[in-house]
Amino acid sequence: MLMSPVGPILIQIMSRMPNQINEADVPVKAEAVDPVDFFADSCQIFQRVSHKIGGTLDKFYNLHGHLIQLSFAGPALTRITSALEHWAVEPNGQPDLTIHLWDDASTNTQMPPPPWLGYGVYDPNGGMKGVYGKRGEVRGFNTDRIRTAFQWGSDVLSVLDMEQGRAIFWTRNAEHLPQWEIGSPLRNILHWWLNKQGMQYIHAGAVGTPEGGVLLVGKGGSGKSTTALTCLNSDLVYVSDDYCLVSTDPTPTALNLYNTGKVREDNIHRVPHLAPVIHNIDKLDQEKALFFLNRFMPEKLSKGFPLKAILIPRVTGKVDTTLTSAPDTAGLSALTLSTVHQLPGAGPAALQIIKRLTSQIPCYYLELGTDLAQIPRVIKEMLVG
Amino acid sequence: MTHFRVNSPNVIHEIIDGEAVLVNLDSGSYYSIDSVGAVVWDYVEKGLSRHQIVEAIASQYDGEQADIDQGVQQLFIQLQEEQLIVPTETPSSNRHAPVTTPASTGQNKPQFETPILHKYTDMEDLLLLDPIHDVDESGWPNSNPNNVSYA
Repeated sequence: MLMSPVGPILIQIMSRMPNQINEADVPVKAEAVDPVDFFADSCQIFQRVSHKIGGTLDKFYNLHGHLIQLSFAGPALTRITSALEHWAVEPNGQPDLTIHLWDDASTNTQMPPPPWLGYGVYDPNGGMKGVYGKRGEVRGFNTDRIRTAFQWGSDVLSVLDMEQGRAIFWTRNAEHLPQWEIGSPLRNILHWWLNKQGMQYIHAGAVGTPEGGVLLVGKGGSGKSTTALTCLNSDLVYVSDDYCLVSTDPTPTALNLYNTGKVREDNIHRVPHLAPVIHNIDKLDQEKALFFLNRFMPEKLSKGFPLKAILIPRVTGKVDTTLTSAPDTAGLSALTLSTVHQLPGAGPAALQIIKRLTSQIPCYYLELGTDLAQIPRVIKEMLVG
Repeated sequence: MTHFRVNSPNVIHEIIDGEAVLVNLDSGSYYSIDSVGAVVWDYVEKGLSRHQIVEAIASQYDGEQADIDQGVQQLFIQLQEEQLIVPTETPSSNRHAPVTTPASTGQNKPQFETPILHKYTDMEDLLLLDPIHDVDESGWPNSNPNNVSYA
Protein backbone atom coordinates (compact mmCIF):
# COMPACT_ATOMS: atom_id res chain seq x y z
CA MET A 1 0.00 0.00 0.00
CA LEU A 2 1.29 3.43 -0.88
CA MET A 3 1.91 5.73 2.04
CA SER A 4 1.79 9.49 1.94
CA PRO A 5 2.61 12.18 4.47
CA VAL A 6 -0.59 14.05 3.59
CA GLY A 7 -3.11 11.42 4.59
CA PRO A 8 -5.05 11.00 7.83
CA ILE A 9 -3.31 9.66 10.86
CA LEU A 10 -4.10 6.09 11.69
CA ILE A 11 -2.78 4.52 14.82
CA GLN A 12 -1.44 1.02 14.57
CA ILE A 13 -2.62 -1.26 17.34
CA MET A 14 -0.09 -3.49 19.03
CA SER A 15 -0.24 -7.16 19.89
CA ARG A 16 -3.53 -8.40 18.64
CA MET A 17 -4.90 -10.63 15.96
CA PRO A 18 -6.81 -8.84 13.21
CA ASN A 19 -10.18 -10.22 14.20
CA GLN A 20 -11.28 -7.59 16.69
CA ILE A 21 -10.75 -3.89 17.21
CA ASN A 22 -10.11 -3.42 20.89
CA GLU A 23 -10.23 0.13 22.11
CA ALA A 24 -8.06 -0.78 25.08
CA ASP A 25 -5.14 -1.68 22.82
CA VAL A 26 -2.18 0.60 22.97
CA PRO A 27 -1.32 2.80 20.00
CA VAL A 28 2.33 2.35 19.11
CA LYS A 29 2.86 3.74 15.66
CA ALA A 30 1.46 6.49 13.51
CA GLU A 31 1.46 6.38 9.73
CA ALA A 32 -0.29 8.44 7.13
CA VAL A 33 -2.35 6.60 4.52
CA ASP A 34 -3.55 8.73 1.66
CA PRO A 35 -7.16 7.94 0.65
CA VAL A 36 -6.33 9.02 -2.91
CA ASP A 37 -3.56 6.43 -3.06
CA PHE A 38 -5.88 3.83 -1.63
CA PHE A 39 -8.43 4.55 -4.33
CA ALA A 40 -5.77 4.41 -7.07
CA ASP A 41 -4.55 1.06 -5.74
CA SER A 42 -8.12 -0.27 -5.72
CA CYS A 43 -8.61 0.76 -9.34
CA GLN A 44 -5.39 -1.05 -10.27
CA ILE A 45 -6.69 -4.16 -8.55
CA PHE A 46 -9.85 -3.93 -10.65
CA GLN A 47 -7.75 -3.61 -13.81
CA ARG A 48 -5.76 -6.72 -12.89
CA VAL A 49 -8.90 -8.70 -12.08
CA SER A 50 -10.67 -7.70 -15.30
CA HIS A 51 -7.53 -8.44 -17.35
CA LYS A 52 -7.29 -11.86 -15.73
CA ILE A 53 -10.80 -12.82 -16.74
CA GLY A 54 -10.56 -11.36 -20.24
CA GLY A 55 -12.01 -7.87 -20.04
CA THR A 56 -15.01 -6.00 -18.72
CA LEU A 57 -18.74 -6.13 -19.25
CA ASP A 58 -20.05 -2.58 -19.50
CA LYS A 59 -23.54 -1.18 -19.05
CA PHE A 60 -24.66 2.43 -19.40
CA TYR A 61 -27.48 4.36 -17.75
CA ASN A 62 -28.78 7.86 -18.31
CA LEU A 63 -29.93 8.90 -14.85
CA HIS A 64 -31.66 12.28 -14.99
CA GLY A 65 -29.26 13.52 -17.65
CA HIS A 66 -26.12 12.01 -16.16
CA LEU A 67 -24.40 9.16 -18.03
CA ILE A 68 -23.30 6.44 -15.63
CA GLN A 69 -21.13 3.51 -16.67
CA LEU A 70 -21.11 0.27 -14.71
CA SER A 71 -18.00 -1.69 -15.65
CA PHE A 72 -18.11 -5.28 -14.41
CA ALA A 73 -15.24 -7.75 -14.14
CA GLY A 74 -17.39 -10.74 -15.08
CA PRO A 75 -21.16 -11.18 -15.11
CA ALA A 76 -21.77 -12.19 -11.50
CA LEU A 77 -22.57 -8.71 -10.16
CA THR A 78 -24.76 -7.71 -13.10
CA ARG A 79 -27.62 -9.08 -11.02
CA ILE A 80 -27.69 -5.75 -9.18
CA THR A 81 -28.63 -3.85 -12.35
CA SER A 82 -32.26 -5.00 -12.57
CA ALA A 83 -33.40 -2.14 -10.34
CA LEU A 84 -31.80 0.35 -12.75
CA GLU A 85 -32.71 -1.21 -16.09
CA HIS A 86 -35.31 1.43 -16.88
CA TRP A 87 -32.45 3.95 -17.17
CA ALA A 88 -30.36 1.76 -19.55
CA VAL A 89 -29.01 3.37 -22.74
CA GLU A 90 -26.50 2.53 -25.44
CA PRO A 91 -23.00 3.91 -24.90
CA ASN A 92 -23.08 7.53 -26.04
CA GLY A 93 -20.16 9.61 -24.90
CA GLN A 94 -17.96 10.15 -21.91
CA PRO A 95 -19.56 8.91 -18.68
CA ASP A 96 -20.03 11.38 -15.85
CA LEU A 97 -19.53 8.55 -13.38
CA THR A 98 -17.83 5.18 -13.89
CA ILE A 99 -18.22 2.45 -11.30
CA HIS A 100 -15.93 -0.59 -11.35
CA LEU A 101 -17.57 -3.67 -9.89
CA TRP A 102 -16.19 -7.09 -9.04
CA ASP A 103 -16.33 -9.89 -6.55
CA ASP A 104 -13.69 -12.34 -5.44
CA ALA A 105 -15.68 -15.55 -5.72
CA SER A 106 -16.68 -15.42 -9.39
CA THR A 107 -13.31 -14.06 -10.55
CA ASN A 108 -11.32 -16.46 -8.39
CA THR A 109 -9.28 -13.60 -6.98
CA GLN A 110 -8.73 -12.23 -3.50
CA MET A 111 -8.91 -8.60 -2.51
CA PRO A 112 -5.79 -7.58 -0.53
CA PRO A 113 -6.35 -6.63 3.11
CA PRO A 114 -7.44 -3.02 3.63
CA PRO A 115 -4.67 -0.56 4.45
CA TRP A 116 -6.43 0.28 7.71
CA LEU A 117 -6.26 -3.30 8.99
CA GLY A 118 -4.73 -3.20 12.46
CA TYR A 119 -5.22 0.54 12.90
CA GLY A 120 -7.44 2.74 15.01
CA VAL A 121 -8.09 6.46 15.01
CA TYR A 122 -8.36 9.08 17.69
CA ASP A 123 -11.93 9.77 18.68
CA PRO A 124 -13.11 13.40 18.94
CA ASN A 125 -14.65 12.53 22.32
CA GLY A 126 -11.34 11.22 23.59
CA GLY A 127 -9.61 7.85 23.48
CA MET A 128 -9.24 5.74 20.41
CA LYS A 129 -11.77 4.00 18.20
CA GLY A 130 -11.70 1.34 15.54
CA VAL A 131 -11.73 2.36 11.91
CA TYR A 132 -15.29 1.35 11.01
CA GLY A 133 -18.29 3.54 11.82
CA LYS A 134 -21.78 2.32 12.55
CA ARG A 135 -23.13 3.12 9.11
CA GLY A 136 -20.02 1.65 7.51
CA GLU A 137 -17.91 4.80 7.22
CA VAL A 138 -14.20 4.06 7.19
CA ARG A 139 -12.63 6.59 9.52
CA GLY A 140 -9.76 8.49 7.99
CA PHE A 141 -10.85 7.61 4.45
CA ASN A 142 -13.61 10.17 4.01
CA THR A 143 -12.45 13.51 2.67
CA ASP A 144 -13.90 16.17 0.39
CA ARG A 145 -12.60 14.12 -2.52
CA ILE A 146 -12.76 10.47 -1.41
CA ARG A 147 -15.71 8.68 0.21
CA THR A 148 -15.26 5.20 1.66
CA ALA A 149 -17.73 2.88 3.37
CA PHE A 150 -18.03 -0.82 4.12
CA GLN A 151 -21.70 -1.74 4.17
CA TRP A 152 -22.54 -3.92 7.15
CA GLY A 153 -24.64 -6.95 6.40
CA SER A 154 -23.90 -7.01 2.71
CA ASP A 155 -20.14 -6.69 3.13
CA VAL A 156 -19.74 -4.33 0.20
CA LEU A 157 -16.83 -1.91 -0.07
CA SER A 158 -17.78 1.34 -1.80
CA VAL A 159 -15.21 4.00 -2.61
CA LEU A 160 -15.86 7.13 -4.68
CA ASP A 161 -13.38 9.62 -6.06
CA MET A 162 -15.48 12.77 -6.49
CA GLU A 163 -12.80 14.49 -8.55
CA GLN A 164 -12.45 11.74 -11.14
CA GLY A 165 -16.10 10.69 -11.15
CA ARG A 166 -14.95 7.14 -10.59
CA ALA A 167 -15.88 4.56 -7.99
CA ILE A 168 -15.34 0.96 -6.97
CA PHE A 169 -17.87 -1.55 -5.66
CA TRP A 170 -16.38 -4.77 -4.32
CA THR A 171 -17.71 -7.71 -2.37
CA ARG A 172 -16.51 -11.20 -1.59
CA ASN A 173 -19.27 -13.13 -3.32
CA ALA A 174 -21.92 -11.65 -5.59
CA GLU A 175 -24.20 -14.61 -4.88
CA HIS A 176 -24.33 -13.65 -1.20
CA LEU A 177 -25.57 -10.10 -1.66
CA PRO A 178 -28.70 -9.59 0.43
CA GLN A 179 -31.99 -8.59 -1.11
CA TRP A 180 -31.63 -4.91 -0.30
CA GLU A 181 -28.53 -4.67 -2.49
CA ILE A 182 -30.62 -6.04 -5.36
CA GLY A 183 -33.63 -3.80 -4.72
CA SER A 184 -31.66 -0.62 -3.94
CA PRO A 185 -28.19 -1.14 -5.43
CA LEU A 186 -25.17 1.16 -5.21
CA ARG A 187 -26.80 3.12 -2.41
CA ASN A 188 -23.68 4.68 -0.94
CA ILE A 189 -21.98 5.61 -4.20
CA LEU A 190 -25.13 7.10 -5.71
CA HIS A 191 -25.93 8.95 -2.48
CA TRP A 192 -22.48 10.56 -2.39
CA TRP A 193 -22.24 11.36 -6.08
CA LEU A 194 -25.79 12.53 -6.75
CA ASN A 195 -25.55 14.95 -3.82
CA LYS A 196 -22.89 16.81 -5.79
CA GLN A 197 -25.26 16.96 -8.75
CA GLY A 198 -27.93 18.68 -6.65
CA MET A 199 -30.00 15.58 -5.95
CA GLN A 200 -30.38 14.29 -2.41
CA TYR A 201 -30.81 10.57 -1.88
CA ILE A 202 -33.50 10.22 0.77
CA HIS A 203 -35.36 7.53 2.65
CA ALA A 204 -38.92 8.17 1.45
CA GLY A 205 -41.64 6.93 -0.83
CA ALA A 206 -43.24 9.11 -3.49
CA VAL A 207 -46.52 8.79 -5.40
CA GLY A 208 -48.69 11.24 -7.32
CA THR A 209 -49.79 12.44 -10.71
CA PRO A 210 -47.54 13.74 -13.49
CA GLU A 211 -48.51 17.26 -12.39
CA GLY A 212 -47.63 16.79 -8.74
CA GLY A 213 -47.14 14.28 -5.97
CA VAL A 214 -46.32 13.65 -2.34
CA LEU A 215 -43.42 12.33 -0.34
CA LEU A 216 -44.16 9.55 2.13
CA VAL A 217 -41.78 9.80 5.05
CA GLY A 218 -41.11 7.93 8.27
CA LYS A 219 -38.91 5.21 9.63
CA GLY A 220 -39.10 1.60 8.52
CA GLY A 221 -42.41 -0.03 9.35
CA SER A 222 -44.34 3.24 9.42
CA GLY A 223 -46.46 2.37 6.39
CA LYS A 224 -44.51 4.06 3.57
CA SER A 225 -44.16 0.98 1.38
CA THR A 226 -47.68 -0.28 1.87
CA THR A 227 -49.07 3.15 1.06
CA ALA A 228 -46.93 3.56 -2.07
CA LEU A 229 -47.60 0.06 -3.35
CA THR A 230 -51.33 0.37 -2.66
CA CYS A 231 -51.34 3.38 -4.97
CA LEU A 232 -50.15 1.15 -7.84
CA ASN A 233 -53.71 -0.15 -7.89
CA SER A 234 -55.05 3.32 -8.75
CA ASP A 235 -54.48 5.98 -11.36
CA LEU A 236 -51.61 7.48 -9.38
CA VAL A 237 -48.05 7.04 -10.63
CA TYR A 238 -45.11 5.77 -8.60
CA VAL A 239 -41.62 7.08 -7.95
CA SER A 240 -40.59 4.96 -4.97
CA ASP A 241 -41.66 3.15 -1.85
CA ASP A 242 -38.41 3.46 0.07
CA TYR A 243 -35.56 5.40 -1.54
CA CYS A 244 -35.77 8.22 -4.03
CA LEU A 245 -34.09 11.50 -4.91
CA VAL A 246 -35.25 15.01 -4.23
CA SER A 247 -34.18 18.28 -5.71
CA THR A 248 -35.12 21.77 -4.60
CA ASP A 249 -33.71 23.73 -7.52
CA PRO A 250 -35.74 25.47 -8.76
CA THR A 251 -38.74 23.87 -7.04
CA PRO A 252 -39.26 20.81 -4.84
CA THR A 253 -39.21 17.71 -7.04
CA ALA A 254 -39.22 13.97 -6.38
CA LEU A 255 -37.07 11.95 -8.75
CA ASN A 256 -37.15 8.22 -9.35
CA LEU A 257 -34.05 6.10 -8.94
CA TYR A 258 -35.02 2.42 -8.73
CA ASN A 259 -37.86 0.55 -10.43
CA THR A 260 -38.45 -1.67 -7.41
CA GLY A 261 -40.97 -2.07 -4.64
CA LYS A 262 -40.63 -4.10 -1.46
CA VAL A 263 -43.06 -5.33 1.16
CA ARG A 264 -42.84 -7.62 4.16
CA GLU A 265 -44.31 -11.06 3.69
CA ASP A 266 -47.01 -10.43 6.31
CA ASN A 267 -48.15 -7.37 4.35
CA ILE A 268 -48.44 -9.02 0.93
CA HIS A 269 -52.15 -9.53 1.48
CA ARG A 270 -52.52 -5.74 1.57
CA VAL A 271 -51.20 -5.45 -2.00
CA PRO A 272 -52.77 -8.48 -3.71
CA HIS A 273 -52.39 -6.84 -7.14
CA LEU A 274 -48.63 -7.43 -6.78
CA ALA A 275 -48.70 -11.01 -5.55
CA PRO A 276 -48.40 -12.52 -9.06
CA VAL A 277 -45.21 -10.56 -9.82
CA ILE A 278 -43.11 -11.23 -6.72
CA HIS A 279 -39.53 -11.73 -7.87
CA ASN A 280 -38.23 -13.74 -4.92
CA ILE A 281 -41.21 -15.92 -4.10
CA ASP A 282 -38.91 -18.74 -2.91
CA LYS A 283 -37.13 -16.59 -0.31
CA LEU A 284 -39.96 -14.87 1.50
CA ASP A 285 -39.09 -16.65 4.72
CA GLN A 286 -35.77 -14.77 4.71
CA GLU A 287 -36.41 -11.43 3.02
CA LYS A 288 -39.05 -8.93 1.88
CA ALA A 289 -41.03 -9.57 -1.28
CA LEU A 290 -39.37 -7.71 -4.15
CA PHE A 291 -41.04 -6.39 -7.34
CA PHE A 292 -39.44 -5.02 -10.51
CA LEU A 293 -42.19 -2.67 -11.57
CA ASN A 294 -40.80 -1.75 -14.99
CA ARG A 295 -41.33 -5.35 -16.07
CA PHE A 296 -44.99 -5.56 -15.15
CA MET A 297 -46.41 -2.06 -14.96
CA PRO A 298 -43.94 0.32 -16.64
CA GLU A 299 -46.73 2.83 -17.24
CA LYS A 300 -46.95 3.31 -13.46
CA LEU A 301 -43.30 4.17 -13.09
CA SER A 302 -42.72 7.94 -13.10
CA LYS A 303 -39.31 9.55 -13.56
CA GLY A 304 -40.44 12.31 -11.22
CA PHE A 305 -42.94 15.02 -10.44
CA PRO A 306 -43.17 18.33 -8.60
CA LEU A 307 -43.76 17.85 -4.90
CA LYS A 308 -46.92 19.32 -3.40
CA ALA A 309 -46.85 17.93 0.14
CA ILE A 310 -45.13 15.67 2.62
CA LEU A 311 -47.24 12.92 4.16
CA ILE A 312 -46.35 11.03 7.31
CA PRO A 313 -48.29 7.73 7.34
CA ARG A 314 -49.73 6.61 10.68
CA VAL A 315 -51.59 3.35 11.17
CA THR A 316 -54.83 4.11 13.03
CA GLY A 317 -56.81 0.88 13.05
CA LYS A 318 -59.88 2.83 11.92
CA VAL A 319 -61.68 2.11 8.67
CA ASP A 320 -61.30 5.45 6.92
CA THR A 321 -58.15 7.18 5.75
CA THR A 322 -57.89 10.89 6.48
CA LEU A 323 -55.40 13.73 6.37
CA THR A 324 -54.62 15.99 9.32
CA SER A 325 -52.26 18.93 9.48
CA ALA A 326 -48.83 18.24 10.90
CA PRO A 327 -46.40 20.70 12.49
CA ASP A 328 -43.78 22.20 10.23
CA THR A 329 -41.04 20.26 11.95
CA ALA A 330 -42.74 16.87 11.69
CA GLY A 331 -41.77 16.27 8.06
CA LEU A 332 -38.31 17.70 8.61
CA SER A 333 -37.80 15.47 11.60
CA ALA A 334 -39.06 12.27 9.98
CA LEU A 335 -37.17 12.80 6.76
CA THR A 336 -33.91 14.00 8.29
CA LEU A 337 -33.63 11.45 11.03
CA SER A 338 -34.38 8.37 8.96
CA THR A 339 -32.09 9.55 6.15
CA VAL A 340 -29.22 10.47 8.46
CA HIS A 341 -29.59 7.20 10.29
CA GLN A 342 -29.13 5.12 7.17
CA LEU A 343 -26.67 6.83 4.89
CA PRO A 344 -22.95 7.20 5.55
CA GLY A 345 -21.95 10.82 5.24
CA ALA A 346 -25.50 12.15 5.17
CA GLY A 347 -24.67 15.27 7.12
CA PRO A 348 -25.20 19.01 7.02
CA ALA A 349 -25.49 19.14 3.22
CA ALA A 350 -28.39 16.71 3.34
CA LEU A 351 -29.95 18.70 6.16
CA GLN A 352 -29.84 21.90 4.11
CA ILE A 353 -31.65 20.33 1.15
CA ILE A 354 -34.23 18.71 3.41
CA LYS A 355 -34.79 21.98 5.29
CA ARG A 356 -35.37 23.84 2.02
CA LEU A 357 -37.73 21.13 0.87
CA THR A 358 -39.80 21.03 4.03
CA SER A 359 -40.03 24.81 4.24
CA GLN A 360 -41.59 25.01 0.80
CA ILE A 361 -44.40 22.46 0.97
CA PRO A 362 -46.99 21.59 3.63
CA CYS A 363 -46.88 18.50 5.80
CA TYR A 364 -49.78 16.25 6.82
CA TYR A 365 -50.31 13.09 8.78
CA LEU A 366 -51.81 10.42 6.55
CA GLU A 367 -54.03 8.59 9.02
CA LEU A 368 -54.14 5.18 7.40
CA GLY A 369 -57.43 3.31 7.57
CA THR A 370 -58.08 -0.35 7.01
CA ASP A 371 -60.04 0.28 3.80
CA LEU A 372 -56.91 0.49 1.66
CA ALA A 373 -58.80 1.57 -1.46
CA GLN A 374 -59.35 4.94 0.21
CA ILE A 375 -55.64 5.70 0.45
CA PRO A 376 -54.95 6.65 -3.19
CA ARG A 377 -58.30 8.47 -3.34
CA VAL A 378 -57.43 10.63 -0.33
CA ILE A 379 -54.01 11.42 -1.76
CA LYS A 380 -55.40 12.30 -5.18
CA GLU A 381 -58.16 14.48 -3.72
CA MET A 382 -55.54 16.40 -1.79
CA LEU A 383 -53.42 16.82 -4.93
CA VAL A 384 -56.14 17.94 -7.30
CA GLY A 385 -58.34 19.70 -4.77
CA MET B 1 -37.90 18.21 41.48
CA THR B 2 -36.01 19.28 38.33
CA HIS B 3 -37.69 18.67 35.03
CA PHE B 4 -36.28 19.19 31.59
CA ARG B 5 -37.89 19.19 28.19
CA VAL B 6 -36.55 18.65 24.73
CA ASN B 7 -35.55 21.99 23.24
CA SER B 8 -38.18 21.83 20.51
CA PRO B 9 -38.64 23.08 17.86
CA ASN B 10 -34.90 23.73 17.56
CA VAL B 11 -34.14 20.09 18.24
CA ILE B 12 -35.57 17.19 16.27
CA HIS B 13 -35.10 13.68 17.51
CA GLU B 14 -36.12 10.08 17.14
CA ILE B 15 -35.15 6.74 18.60
CA ILE B 16 -34.24 4.42 15.77
CA ASP B 17 -33.08 0.86 16.41
CA GLY B 18 -32.30 1.66 20.04
CA GLU B 19 -30.25 4.73 19.20
CA ALA B 20 -31.43 8.26 19.90
CA VAL B 21 -30.63 10.41 16.86
CA LEU B 22 -30.77 14.15 17.58
CA VAL B 23 -30.31 17.16 15.32
CA ASN B 24 -29.90 20.74 16.55
CA LEU B 25 -31.39 22.70 13.67
CA ASP B 26 -29.80 25.96 14.81
CA SER B 27 -26.23 24.68 14.82
CA GLY B 28 -26.62 21.89 12.25
CA SER B 29 -24.91 19.50 14.66
CA TYR B 30 -25.92 15.85 14.81
CA TYR B 31 -25.84 13.75 17.96
CA SER B 32 -26.40 10.16 18.90
CA ILE B 33 -26.82 8.34 22.19
CA ASP B 34 -26.80 4.57 22.34
CA SER B 35 -28.04 2.06 24.87
CA VAL B 36 -28.76 3.48 28.34
CA GLY B 37 -28.52 7.02 27.02
CA ALA B 38 -31.30 6.37 24.51
CA VAL B 39 -33.50 5.14 27.36
CA VAL B 40 -32.72 8.29 29.34
CA TRP B 41 -33.61 10.41 26.33
CA ASP B 42 -36.90 8.57 25.98
CA TYR B 43 -37.71 9.40 29.62
CA VAL B 44 -36.79 13.06 29.14
CA GLU B 45 -39.12 13.16 26.17
CA LYS B 46 -41.86 11.61 28.34
CA GLY B 47 -41.43 14.42 30.88
CA LEU B 48 -39.86 12.56 33.81
CA SER B 49 -37.72 14.49 36.26
CA ARG B 50 -34.00 13.75 36.58
CA HIS B 51 -34.67 12.04 39.90
CA GLN B 52 -37.40 9.87 38.40
CA ILE B 53 -35.14 8.93 35.52
CA VAL B 54 -32.33 7.87 37.87
CA GLU B 55 -34.80 5.71 39.76
CA ALA B 56 -36.15 4.16 36.58
CA ILE B 57 -32.68 3.40 35.23
CA ALA B 58 -31.61 1.92 38.57
CA SER B 59 -34.60 -0.40 38.47
CA GLN B 60 -33.84 -1.52 34.93
CA TYR B 61 -30.06 -1.88 34.96
CA ASP B 62 -27.53 -3.64 37.12
CA GLY B 63 -25.04 -1.18 38.56
CA GLU B 64 -23.97 0.86 41.57
CA GLN B 65 -26.48 3.55 42.50
CA ALA B 66 -23.72 6.15 42.65
CA ASP B 67 -22.49 5.26 39.17
CA ILE B 68 -26.00 5.49 37.76
CA ASP B 69 -26.64 8.81 39.49
CA GLN B 70 -23.36 10.25 38.24
CA GLY B 71 -23.77 8.85 34.72
CA VAL B 72 -27.25 10.27 34.27
CA GLN B 73 -26.22 13.58 35.82
CA GLN B 74 -23.26 13.87 33.46
CA LEU B 75 -25.48 13.18 30.46
CA PHE B 76 -27.91 15.87 31.58
CA ILE B 77 -25.05 18.35 31.82
CA GLN B 78 -23.93 17.51 28.29
CA LEU B 79 -27.47 17.71 26.90
CA GLN B 80 -27.92 21.11 28.50
CA GLU B 81 -24.55 22.38 27.28
CA GLU B 82 -25.51 21.42 23.74
CA GLN B 83 -28.93 23.06 24.23
CA LEU B 84 -30.67 19.82 23.42
CA ILE B 85 -32.74 20.06 26.62
CA VAL B 86 -33.85 23.03 28.68
CA PRO B 87 -35.15 23.25 32.27
CA THR B 88 -38.86 23.55 32.77
CA GLU B 89 -40.91 24.21 35.90
CA THR B 90 -43.43 21.46 35.40
CA PRO B 91 -43.83 18.81 32.75
CA SER B 92 -46.95 18.83 30.65
CA SER B 93 -49.21 16.17 32.09
CA ASN B 94 -50.02 14.46 28.81
CA ARG B 95 -46.34 13.79 28.14
CA HIS B 96 -45.78 12.12 31.47
CA ALA B 97 -46.45 8.57 30.36
CA PRO B 98 -45.98 5.62 32.67
CA VAL B 99 -42.51 4.19 32.61
CA THR B 100 -42.21 0.69 31.27
CA THR B 101 -39.48 -1.34 32.85
CA PRO B 102 -39.21 -4.56 30.87
CA ALA B 103 -35.94 -5.56 32.52
CA SER B 104 -36.75 -4.33 36.01
CA THR B 105 -37.15 -7.69 37.65
CA GLY B 106 -35.33 -10.96 37.72
CA GLN B 107 -31.67 -11.79 37.47
CA ASN B 108 -31.07 -10.73 33.90
CA LYS B 109 -30.85 -6.97 34.17
CA PRO B 110 -28.49 -5.52 31.57
CA GLN B 111 -25.32 -3.96 32.93
CA PHE B 112 -25.45 -0.19 33.36
CA GLU B 113 -23.01 1.56 31.04
CA THR B 114 -22.25 5.23 31.40
CA PRO B 115 -24.23 7.01 28.65
CA ILE B 116 -22.17 9.08 26.23
CA LEU B 117 -23.43 11.85 23.98
CA HIS B 118 -21.66 11.67 20.65
CA LYS B 119 -21.50 14.87 18.65
CA TYR B 120 -20.81 15.15 14.93
CA THR B 121 -20.21 18.51 13.41
CA ASP B 122 -18.95 17.69 9.94
CA MET B 123 -18.54 14.90 7.44
CA GLU B 124 -15.44 13.45 9.01
CA ASP B 125 -17.02 13.45 12.45
CA LEU B 126 -20.15 11.65 11.31
CA LEU B 127 -18.72 8.47 12.67
CA LEU B 128 -20.66 6.60 15.24
CA LEU B 129 -19.62 3.91 17.63
CA ASP B 130 -17.99 0.87 16.16
CA PRO B 131 -20.25 -2.03 15.52
CA ILE B 132 -18.88 -5.30 16.76
CA HIS B 133 -17.35 -7.09 13.85
CA ASP B 134 -15.08 -9.95 12.99
CA VAL B 135 -12.34 -9.80 10.42
CA ASP B 136 -11.48 -12.99 8.60
CA GLU B 137 -8.11 -14.06 7.23
CA SER B 138 -8.60 -11.84 4.18
CA GLY B 139 -8.47 -8.82 6.48
CA TRP B 140 -12.03 -7.65 5.66
CA PRO B 141 -14.95 -7.59 8.09
CA ASN B 142 -17.30 -10.51 7.90
CA SER B 143 -20.77 -9.39 8.93
CA ASN B 144 -22.82 -11.13 6.23
CA PRO B 145 -23.88 -14.54 7.51
CA ASN B 146 -23.78 -15.85 3.95
CA ASN B 147 -20.10 -15.13 3.61
CA VAL B 148 -17.84 -18.00 4.53
CA SER B 149 -14.41 -17.13 5.82
CA TYR B 150 -11.50 -17.90 3.61
CA ALA B 151 -9.49 -20.95 4.58
